[in-house]
Amino acid sequence: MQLADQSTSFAGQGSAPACAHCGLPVPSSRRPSAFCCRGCEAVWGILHEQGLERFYDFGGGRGYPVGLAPEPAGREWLEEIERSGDVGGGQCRVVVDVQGIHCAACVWVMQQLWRRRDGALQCRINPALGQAELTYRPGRLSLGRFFDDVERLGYRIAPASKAARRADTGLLLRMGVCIALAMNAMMFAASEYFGLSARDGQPFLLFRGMSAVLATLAVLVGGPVFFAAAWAGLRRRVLHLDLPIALGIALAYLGSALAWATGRGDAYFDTVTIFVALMLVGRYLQQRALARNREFLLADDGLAHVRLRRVNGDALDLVPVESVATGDVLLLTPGDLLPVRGRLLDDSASLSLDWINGESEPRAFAVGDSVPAGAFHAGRRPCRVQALATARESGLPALLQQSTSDRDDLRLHGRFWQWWNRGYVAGVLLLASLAGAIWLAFDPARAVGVAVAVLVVTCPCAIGIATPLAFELATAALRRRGVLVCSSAVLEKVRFVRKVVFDKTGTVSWGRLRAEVEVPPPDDLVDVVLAMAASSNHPVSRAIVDRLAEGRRVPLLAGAQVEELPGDGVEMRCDGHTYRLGRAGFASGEVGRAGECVFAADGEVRARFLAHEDLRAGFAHEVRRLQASGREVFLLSGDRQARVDCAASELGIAPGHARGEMSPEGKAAFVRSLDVDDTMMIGDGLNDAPAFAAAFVAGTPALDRPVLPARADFCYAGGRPDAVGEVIDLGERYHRTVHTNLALGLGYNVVVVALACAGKMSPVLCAILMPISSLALIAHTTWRLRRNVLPS
Amino acid sequence: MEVVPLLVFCSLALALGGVLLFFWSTRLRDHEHAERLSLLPLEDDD
Repeated sequence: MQLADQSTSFAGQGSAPACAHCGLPVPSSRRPSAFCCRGCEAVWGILHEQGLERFYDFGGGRGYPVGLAPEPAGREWLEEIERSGDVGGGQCRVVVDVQGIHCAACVWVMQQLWRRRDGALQCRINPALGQAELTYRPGRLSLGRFFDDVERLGYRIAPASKAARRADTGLLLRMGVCIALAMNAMMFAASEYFGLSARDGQPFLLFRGMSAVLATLAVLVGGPVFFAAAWAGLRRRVLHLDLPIALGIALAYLGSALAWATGRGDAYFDTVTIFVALMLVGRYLQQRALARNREFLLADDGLAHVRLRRVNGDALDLVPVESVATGDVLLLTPGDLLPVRGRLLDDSASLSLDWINGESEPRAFAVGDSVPAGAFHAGRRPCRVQALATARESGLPALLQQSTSDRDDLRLHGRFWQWWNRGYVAGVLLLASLAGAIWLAFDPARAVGVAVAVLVVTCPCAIGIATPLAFELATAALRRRGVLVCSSAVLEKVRFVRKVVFDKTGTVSWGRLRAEVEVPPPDDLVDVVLAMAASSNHPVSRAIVDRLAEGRRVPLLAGAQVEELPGDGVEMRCDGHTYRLGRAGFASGEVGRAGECVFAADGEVRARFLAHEDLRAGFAHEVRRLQASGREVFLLSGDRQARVDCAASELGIAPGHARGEMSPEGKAAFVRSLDVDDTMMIGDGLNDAPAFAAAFVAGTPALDRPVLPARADFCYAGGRPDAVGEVIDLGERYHRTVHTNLALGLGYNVVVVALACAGKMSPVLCAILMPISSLALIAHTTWRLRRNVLPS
Repeated sequence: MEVVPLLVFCSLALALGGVLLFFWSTRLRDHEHAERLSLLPLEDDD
């Protein structure tokens, strides 16, 4: 129960005092503590001990929610980057990725910790990329100790693997150029609005010509961003959100050019130029919000946290994937991922390729068969595989690095935006044609001008600027609460969620079981128990290995045949004996207790273990909250059914909604069977990845394991139970704001289209009305999304 | 009115200069270091 007091119970949150570190409400279970979690308390203590209280001044009075008390991680890579970082003159320069840097306070605190060290020369931090470049004298400064101090404050360090995205810079350049063009266009337009007319001759023609040139440049520089996206959508038969914007730009520009060339009607070049600049600002805001959240995380290839059992003579070594070489023999236990291409050494094995090619049924492999990287072991017995390549050569990193943008699927657009886009495109074209046709009948000289005016005044500002701003504000509010939105569609999608599926282990519980030894195994059988437990991926087996190993090598018993029987335990035949480790009824035939694990040799009980699992408190309240809002809550786990039922009953989840003994494919199939574009999956293990792919929305608390954040729509710090509810709540608020904006935009359009159809619209009026409407929508969005969203 | 083309030329030259400076700043990736650069005035205090 050591970790139980880190839990968060947000009952009575409204009147809860704010955490002294992050400003979030302190859960009732932690009061009278001034901190919402042990992590925040630890970080606050270190900052005050080190005299770094100014951190809070730079961070607007608060830090970032921490969750678990941070502990420095292992750094096998440090020696190599120090060796390669030698720049001569007794100096070394290394570049590392830093997870968690997001503001000036983070930069300041890292710089302070650096400057206080003897031998430290320069510390250059790039918060946008989450990267630090450190120059120092290696003989006088220990980089490892510096990293330890930084990680104790809740940041995480890894070798540099991030690179600035060219696409982001390209958009920034386009935006800058178009803003410059818009300002100059306004200057030329202002002279017309203040009286310059055709009667003035040359200056008028010069200014009009300059306006046309600037608008052309704006369309050429800024337009392709929207034209390309709209065209790509059309090719996939989807009315992309960029289509109305692209259409607005194209029609307004072409209409103005036509009016200018024919001399019939007014040209709206300044409006077009400003519109392009505004749309690019909106697009940049949206991309920046997502990029900041993605760069907040470490960007490894997703393999850094995967460990494999490598056969080393008569022992098993648990090794990181990077150290697996061609020719190594690996032992795969049920549920394991094979991250390298290999050849099966045992007679047969059942492996699932669902993750690679979508095959739902596991495939049988025979001895000597080649097994692709990315296969999951779906059988019951451990099997041996010889590596035929390293992970990098096997191409798995590319599979693991599936971008979150892949999750920005098109299902959402099938709902609201498809309908809106279709209505917008048809409506604008119809109105313009109708207005033009009516004027053609009565006053042909003004027909083109009226049609152009309709096209210009209906430019979709609400979609182009107010919607991205709403997204930026909503994601920023969630980021302040420790929730990182990683896909652009998630805020729209969460409001459709009617079913929430939680993975049990690691998400609802603390992830690892604790094994208490009730009857210790005899000394001569400890190796047998260890070998059996190490052959299984079951959480109880891992707890037993943790409890018994304590520095001792995990042995591999020659000639032993091990089989895992789901729901029962592990059986091993060796030297004429039969050993069983698992449920009491399975191991010795006796009636067991809940959580009991028995080791028996030839049916005789030789050891007893009791496994404990601590659920994160506060989850029961969150489950009730989700259920009260009309959503169904499910609990899935690879763990045994009895344990899942026990957790479900504690959380208030109906027995029929709790499923145990689920394989990765089983979870994915279950989610697929539930999902009608309304299912959210929350999990933290690599084996949840197939279920993530099947779910409509996916979230993970596994910020420290980069595979899932790269595949999830959102991730959250500290495993806080209320994070899911917060995402849903803010998603609904975002949806209401966007829809109100669209309604306001529609109302504005009705008025201005009526003016345009009546022939009362002029470039001056348009130049006044359009910025006013855009500013009104921006003010409304800011007011709606900043109100009551910030932590108190 | 001969002064108008000259003024237009000057204003466009200034705008072009601004755009070039913006390109240069973007190339240095200053926009990624806003948080670090914002702390520079406080260097002496620390």
